[in-house]
Amino acid sequence: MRKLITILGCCLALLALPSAASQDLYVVVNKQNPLKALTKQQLTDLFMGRSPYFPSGAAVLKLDAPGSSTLRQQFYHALVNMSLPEVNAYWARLMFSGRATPPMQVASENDMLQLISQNPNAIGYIPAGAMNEEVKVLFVISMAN
Amino acid sequence: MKRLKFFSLSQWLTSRVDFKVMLAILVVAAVFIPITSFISYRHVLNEVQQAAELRVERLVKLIEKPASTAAYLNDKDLAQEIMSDLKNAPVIAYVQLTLSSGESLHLGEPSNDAATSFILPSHFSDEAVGKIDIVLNQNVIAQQARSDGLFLVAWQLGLLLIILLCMLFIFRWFVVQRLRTLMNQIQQVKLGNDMPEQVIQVSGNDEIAFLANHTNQLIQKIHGLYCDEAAKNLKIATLERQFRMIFENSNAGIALINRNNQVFLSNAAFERLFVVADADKISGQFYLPELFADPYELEDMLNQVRVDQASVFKDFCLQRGKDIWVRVLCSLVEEQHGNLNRFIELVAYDISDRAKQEKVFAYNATHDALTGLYNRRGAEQRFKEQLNYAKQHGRHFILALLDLNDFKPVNDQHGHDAGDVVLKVIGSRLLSVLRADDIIARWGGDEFVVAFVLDDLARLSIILDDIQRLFTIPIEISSDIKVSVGASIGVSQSSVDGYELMQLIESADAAMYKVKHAGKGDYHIAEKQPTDSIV
Repeated sequence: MRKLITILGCCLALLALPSAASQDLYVVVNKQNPLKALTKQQLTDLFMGRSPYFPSGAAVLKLDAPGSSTLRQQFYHALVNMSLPEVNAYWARLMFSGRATPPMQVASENDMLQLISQNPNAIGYIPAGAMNEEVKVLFVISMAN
Repeated sequence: MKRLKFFSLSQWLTSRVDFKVMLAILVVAAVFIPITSFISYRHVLNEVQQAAELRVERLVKLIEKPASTAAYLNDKDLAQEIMSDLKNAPVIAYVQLTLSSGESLHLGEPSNDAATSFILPSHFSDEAVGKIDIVLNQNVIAQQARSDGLFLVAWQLGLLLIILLCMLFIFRWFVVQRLRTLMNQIQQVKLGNDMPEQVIQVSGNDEIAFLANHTNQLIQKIHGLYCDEAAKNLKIATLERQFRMIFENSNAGIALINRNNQVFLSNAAFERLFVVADADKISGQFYLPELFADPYELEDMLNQVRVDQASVFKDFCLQRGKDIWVRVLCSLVEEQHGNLNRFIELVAYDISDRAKQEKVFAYNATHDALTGLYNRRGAEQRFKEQLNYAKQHGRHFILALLDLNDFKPVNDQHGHDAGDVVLKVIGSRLLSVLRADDIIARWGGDEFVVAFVLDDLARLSIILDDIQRLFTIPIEISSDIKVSVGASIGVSQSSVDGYELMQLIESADAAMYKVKHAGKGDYHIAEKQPTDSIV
């Protein structure tokens, strides 16, 4: 019986996975952040190291999902159409010049939400369902396509 | 000396067809190599340029990502690094990188040459984040093009030389050697009776073999003609020798006379006969009639031949001696080339001996053998001449007929030899008293006739007396025998009997008989009426 439940659970998880993959991603900041919205360009400039500051001029703490997580992969694919190895190579190349800093990787997706909740300068991305009261959405990356 | 050597070298070169062909090809090559070199240089330059552009394009492709990152991030350090990497390529003279911020970084010497621009695309969107402008180093490209071009030209030259050498050998093998063979064969051809059928032969079936074959045919034809001609020449030479022999060894003098009566050609006999002067022999043309005693006579004869176109012969006495007589036979020579320059063929025989003989005959016929005076026949001829002369000039012609008295007794007593002596002595005595022009003839056995022309009849009696006196002198037959013969003389004269010979003789005869009847040793001149005047 337990075995059966495990199998069913696995099946449910398999069914749930595509639905999770097609979930939208929310780019979120601390509620205290004065920004109301971000364009895709501004978001790209922030995460690809071009802009070290928010358009408002405030310092920024970019948060990245764990190295090979699906979330991170989905985010970069949607934002700049790059695979994770490409993104890694991009940053690896830029490490020598030291002018641009890559986003800080968090240990888990929960840590990202927590860090954002605590730091008003932090920015990160979460699946649409993981929202809480401490963060606000600046940009929605639609996963419909 | 140096120049002479050079000249002979060029002659040596141009005398050989293989070198000539090579020289011609070299000259053509010398004209075309610069053209082809120029074209290939242009081609190489173009290629090198294109290769450089392609290389630059590839280089840019290689650094495109980092460059666009640098442009996107406006990262000058990264941009500098990329630019110096690019600049390491020798074909790139100048690099300019424009960042997304609009700022431009550049490296190298800026120049006026056109720059190639490469747009740097963004990693994240379609928009451009910057651009790279690159100016190629034309010097490097030109240098490379030059070295490539030089290599190409050198290679072409080497190839040409190799091909030329090969061609030289092939040409020598296929053409020159066989031509030499042909030439040697032609040189060794000797036309003669023992010539073989095939003297020239070159293997193969190409043009040279064809040429050799035809040359052989030609030589065979020439050989045939040569043999025919040689045989013909031999025949002509023999004939010529024969004709020459006839012409030159002929005893008759043979000559060709041209329109101006000059001797055009003559043989040795002719020259001997006419004793032609050496100078005339050399000049070859001399006026023939001058050699004759009577030039006009010969000229008349030559003209007659030209007019009548018939052969004529006549005897002539030559200028060089009165007793040299030639018989000349003239006839017109028909020339094959028309009648413009007609020659007269003249054949002359020496007839001097015969002429002398004929003269003797003529003399004997008209003269008395014993006394040397005219005989009756000769006298009659001479009388007629003198009669004509006297008649024409109105002079008196006297004819005296002498008949010896007592001649018969001399013959009877002392023999005929004595009679002959008497006749001879009387003849010479008559000659001594008469003039050279007077005619004295022995008319018959013991009859003489004397004739002469007188202006004045008064002299007649004196002459007759002189004659009569001759007979009064005794004639010595031998040392101890002397005879005396008288003469009865009958005389007739033209003033009485006219200029008729027969009449004169008859009259004189009649007068003589009158004297004889009357008594011997007198003369009587016939009167106008002889019948009435008998004494």
